Amino acid sequence: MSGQSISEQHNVGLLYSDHHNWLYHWLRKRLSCDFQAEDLVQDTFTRLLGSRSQNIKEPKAYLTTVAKGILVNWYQRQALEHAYLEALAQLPKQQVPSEEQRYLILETLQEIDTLLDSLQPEVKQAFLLSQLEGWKYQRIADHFNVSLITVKRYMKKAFLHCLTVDLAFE
Amino acid sequence: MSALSYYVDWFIGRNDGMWFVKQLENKTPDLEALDQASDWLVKFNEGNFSDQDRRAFEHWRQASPANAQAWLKAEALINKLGHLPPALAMPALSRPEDTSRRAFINKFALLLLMAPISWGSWRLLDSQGWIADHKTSRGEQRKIQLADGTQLQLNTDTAIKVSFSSSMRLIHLVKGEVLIDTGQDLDGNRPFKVATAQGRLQALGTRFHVRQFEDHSQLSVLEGAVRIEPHQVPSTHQIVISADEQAEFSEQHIETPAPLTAANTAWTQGMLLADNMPLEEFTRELSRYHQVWFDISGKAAGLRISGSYPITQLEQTLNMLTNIYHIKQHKRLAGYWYNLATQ
Repeated sequence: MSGQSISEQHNVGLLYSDHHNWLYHWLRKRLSCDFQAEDLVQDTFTRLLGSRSQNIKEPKAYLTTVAKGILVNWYQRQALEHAYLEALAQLPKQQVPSEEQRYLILETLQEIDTLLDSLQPEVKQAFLLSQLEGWKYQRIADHFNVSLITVKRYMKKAFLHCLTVDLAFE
Repeated sequence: MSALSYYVDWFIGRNDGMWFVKQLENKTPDLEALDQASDWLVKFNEGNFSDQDRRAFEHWRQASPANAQAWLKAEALINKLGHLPPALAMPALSRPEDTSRRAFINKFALLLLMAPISWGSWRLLDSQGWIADHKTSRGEQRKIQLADGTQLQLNTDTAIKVSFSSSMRLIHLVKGEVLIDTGQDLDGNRPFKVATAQGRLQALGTRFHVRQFEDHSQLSVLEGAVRIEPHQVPSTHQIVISADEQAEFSEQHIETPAPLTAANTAWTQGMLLADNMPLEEFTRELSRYHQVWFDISGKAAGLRISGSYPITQLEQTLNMLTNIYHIKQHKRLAGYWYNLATQ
């Protein structure tokens, strides 16, 4: 966010020096890892820098809320990365992508994962089977034992959700 | 010259339509258009997409800038999903739910929406068409005759604004490419100019071809001569290109003219001439004519293509590629998406 004024940055600077310590301890209690707690503290303040928040009246409550959101993201990323590494290990050797590709794929997966996260599980599954596995709607309908119309409704819901939740797709 | 016509010349020449584009960038995306784009995505995935559906879709997409924008967003989504290897993506994305995490998330779901909005990164090229006086849609070519007898031939996905004033005949090439046969000016000797994003071209009685690339312009002169006037090149360094020559130019620089190649205007015969052309560039050319996306994987990325291909016949062109270069093609999304890989 380039449009941020000096005073906004100054405010975040003040917040940082006043609140860094307790936030770090708060996060460490939940993560039981010093380095990651420090990383997430940084993420929390970085998020503030990006959000143009002015005149925060209850900094402690506000910071806790933001940090919780970041913690949620972090848990989710850990679970995704774990599942991804497991899937990689299952691949035949000649199909394993290069290191760079592996990283790029993980990045895209994280983006899509966040994007689909708030969808109902069956909507998400139907969407993934269609988009990743190329299943026809009828096959998905048979698989979940629902009508074709329902599958189309799931797909519509998922597409609309993806187009309206604002992730940075380039 | 009247003050008004001077102003019009100045305005059209200097602003190059950017004012309209700026207006568009500030617009928030249209929920209704995004809703309709989702309907189209559902339909594409269903398969059985008829020619009539295809026309209806194109009609919808071009009906408004909001629709075009919404579809760009849909394209970006499909692109992203299409690049994921299913063997990795499926187990990772459909992993079992972590229930404690789910409870935690439901409570704070709103926070996840705090990521900054980034509509600004959209390309607006598609929506530039509507400010032009004449335009062609993807796959369309059109011939136009202007009031002074000038003949224009527009290639696919092209937009021009024609502005004739008492002092100048100006064609502004907003996007795409155009072949021009200038007519005899009966209203005096008004100069004939073509404006691109990088500069202006002044025709000196002539038949010439101009193409607007993303970051530069290309001029090919078939008859007569054309003077290149890039925005930031002083007039002492501007040069005249004669018949059977071609030159590319940016705002600051004119490349050394080269002998004219037939490939530049082969489209007027419905052909794409490739001479050792990287496959990626070849598919980019195809996408100018057909609403398709290509995904090139593996060694196919290093292939170089030569030969002449019927540019408006997608199936035929792809079959030729498949046979000559042993490329495997895999179709998805009712033929809107192709994966090309080496066999």
